[in-house]
Amino acid sequence: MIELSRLHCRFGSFALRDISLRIGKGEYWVILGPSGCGKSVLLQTIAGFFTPEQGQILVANRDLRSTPPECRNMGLVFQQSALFPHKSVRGNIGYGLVARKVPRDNVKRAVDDLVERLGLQAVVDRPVATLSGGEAQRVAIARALAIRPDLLLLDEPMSSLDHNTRLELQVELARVHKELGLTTLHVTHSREEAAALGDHIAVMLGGRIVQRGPTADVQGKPRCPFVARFLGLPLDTGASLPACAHACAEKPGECTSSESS
Amino acid sequence: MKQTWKQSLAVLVVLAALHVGMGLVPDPPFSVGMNLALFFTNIFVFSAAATVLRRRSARTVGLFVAGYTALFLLVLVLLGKAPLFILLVVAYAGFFGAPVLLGFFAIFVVCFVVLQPFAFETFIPLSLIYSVFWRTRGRASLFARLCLCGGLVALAVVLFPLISLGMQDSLQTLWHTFTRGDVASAIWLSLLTSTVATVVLALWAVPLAYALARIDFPGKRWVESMVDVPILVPQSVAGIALIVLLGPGSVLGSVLESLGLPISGSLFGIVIAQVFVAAPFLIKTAMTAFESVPLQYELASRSLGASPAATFARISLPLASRGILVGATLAWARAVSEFGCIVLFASSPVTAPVLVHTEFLRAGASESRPIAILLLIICLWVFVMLQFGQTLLPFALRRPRPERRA
Repeated sequence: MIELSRLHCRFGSFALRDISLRIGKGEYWVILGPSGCGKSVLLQTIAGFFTPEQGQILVANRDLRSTPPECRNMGLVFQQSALFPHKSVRGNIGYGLVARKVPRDNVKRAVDDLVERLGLQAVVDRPVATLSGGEAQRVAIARALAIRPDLLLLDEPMSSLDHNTRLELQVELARVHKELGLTTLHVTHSREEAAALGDHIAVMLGGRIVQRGPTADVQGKPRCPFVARFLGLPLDTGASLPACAHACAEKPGECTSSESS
Repeated sequence: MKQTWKQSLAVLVVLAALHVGMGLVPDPPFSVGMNLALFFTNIFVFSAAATVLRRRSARTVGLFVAGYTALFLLVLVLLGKAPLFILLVVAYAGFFGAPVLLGFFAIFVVCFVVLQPFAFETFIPLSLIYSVFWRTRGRASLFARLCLCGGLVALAVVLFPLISLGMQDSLQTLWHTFTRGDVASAIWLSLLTSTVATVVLALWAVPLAYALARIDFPGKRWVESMVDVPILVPQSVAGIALIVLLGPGSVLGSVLESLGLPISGSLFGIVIAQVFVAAPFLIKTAMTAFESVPLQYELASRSLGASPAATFARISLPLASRGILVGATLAWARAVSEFGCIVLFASSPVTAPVLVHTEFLRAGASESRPIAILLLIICLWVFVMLQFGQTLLPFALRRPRPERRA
C-alpha cells in the first residue's frame, strides 16, 4: 500500500499543498486536472526527483521521502516515451534489470516475457527511432514494468497519441493492470481516459487535491462546480467546498478553498 | 519562315559590312585572316543564338548580348587576345542554352583569364560553391541561397592564403623536408603533445561540462565566462603568466625542478600550455552537447534504478559523445596550433609551429614554407578524419531539420 500524507512541496511561486492520498495494493488511481495544476510535479515528487518540505511518502510503511529515485522501485512512463535512443528496444526494456546487475539470462527471460505480454514481437528488433508513438509508448511501459515496480507512475502517457492508438493503448493498459495486479498512478487531463481506466479518481486544481474517491462516487457526486465542470457533468451549484469563493470560475487554475480533504 | 530568312540575311549583311569596315579603316585592329575568322565566328554565334533564343523573352536576348559584350570587352579590348576570344565566344554561344554549364563557363573565364596566376586555386572552390548554389535550387529561398554562397565565397577568400600555400611546393620538396630529422621530430612532438593535452583536458573538462549543463548555482554565469578567459587572453600574456608561476627561478618551478620535474622547456611544459589554451573549446562544446540530452532520459534512467554515476556513464555520456568528440577535435586543433604561449614558456623541445617560426627567422619564408605546408596538410588530415570519425559514434541526437521551403 502506498500512502501520501500531507505532502507540501514548493517550486518558486507554485506549490503542492497538503496532498494526501491512500492507494491500496492493485488499485488504479487517475489524477485528473487541468494543465498547470501540479499533477506531473506531484508524480515526479513521488518518483523522487523533488524533495517535499513536509509530509511523508510511505510505501509498505517505509518513508521514502529522502530515498533517491533509483532506490524507490517505481516505474515511470513519460508523455514522450523518453526511450533511450542509443539502445535497442530490447536494451531499453532490460535497462532497469541491467542497472540492477541482474544476470543476463534472467534479463533476457524477463524481456521476452514482457515483449510477449505487450505484443511487441514485431518491433523488438527495430531501432527505437523508427517506432510509432503507440509502439514507443508500449516499449516505455514494458521498460517500466520490467523492474516489477511497487508503483507504476504514468505521466500523461497517451497525450501525444492519436485517438485510435490511444483507445488501443487504454485497452492494453487495463489488461496488463489486471493481469499483473499493478498499483498504478496515472496522471492525465482527459476525463475519458480517467473514466475508462481508473477505479479511483483524484481531481487536482492549483496544487491541491479537490476531490478523490472511487470513480463512480466522484462522477456521481462532484464536490464543487469546478469538479463537475471538469468531469463534464451538469453544474451542481448546490455543492461547493467549505469557504469556496468560486475563484476557479474567474481565474483558471485558482482555488481558494480553505480545506481540501 | 520567309520573315526569318529575311531577318537572317539582314543580320549577315550588317555583320559583313561591320567586318569589311573594320578591315578598311586605316591601321586596322586585326589582320585580314583574323578578321575573316572573327567574321565566321560571329556568324556561328548568331546562328547558335538564333536557335537558342527563338521565342525567348527580350530579357534573355538582352542577357545573351550582355554576356557577349562582356567577353568582347574583357578578352578582346582589355587583353587583346583574339584567338582566345574566338574560342570563348564559340563556347559561350554553345553553353547559353544550358544555364548550369553557362555558370561554370563564367567561373572558368573569370578564373583562367582574370585570375590567371591563381587559376586552379580559385576555379576549384568557386565551381564547388556554384554547384552548391545550383543544387540547393528549390530547397531554399533565393535569399538563403545567396546568403549561403556569398558567405562561402567570403570564407574561401579568408582561407585563400592556406589554399594557395598548399599549392606552393612540389611533393618532392615536401618529402625531402619531411625526412629532415628536426622537421619530423618537431611534427611528431606537436602531434604527441597535443594528443596528450587533449586527453588530460578531457579527464576533467567533460565532468565539468556535465555539471555546468545540469546544475544551476549562484554565480554560474560567472563561471561560464571564466571558462572563456583563455580565448580572451593574448597568447604571449598566457606565456608570461606561466613563466612567472612555473618558470625557472619561480618558487613552484624550483620546487618541481628539485623533484626532477622541470616544467619550463620540457614536454610537460608544452602540455600545460596546450591544456591552458585548448580548455574553453572542449568545455563549451561538451556543455552544449550535454544540454542537448533531454533531462527526461536521465530521469527515466534514475527511476529504473541506475545511480547518478551509472546514468552518466550509460545515458548522458554516450548521447553527448558526438558533441564531446567535436569539442575534443577543436581542442586538439587549438593545441596543435598553439605558438605564442609555447615559444615563450616551453620553446624547447621544438614543436612544429615554433620550428616554422625559427626557420623563418633563420632562412626566410622560402625555407620555412615546406614545413608550414607539411604541418598544414597533416593537421588538416587529422582534423578531417576526426570530423568524419564522429559519424561512426553510435548515436547523435536527432536535430530538428530545417523545413523545406520553396
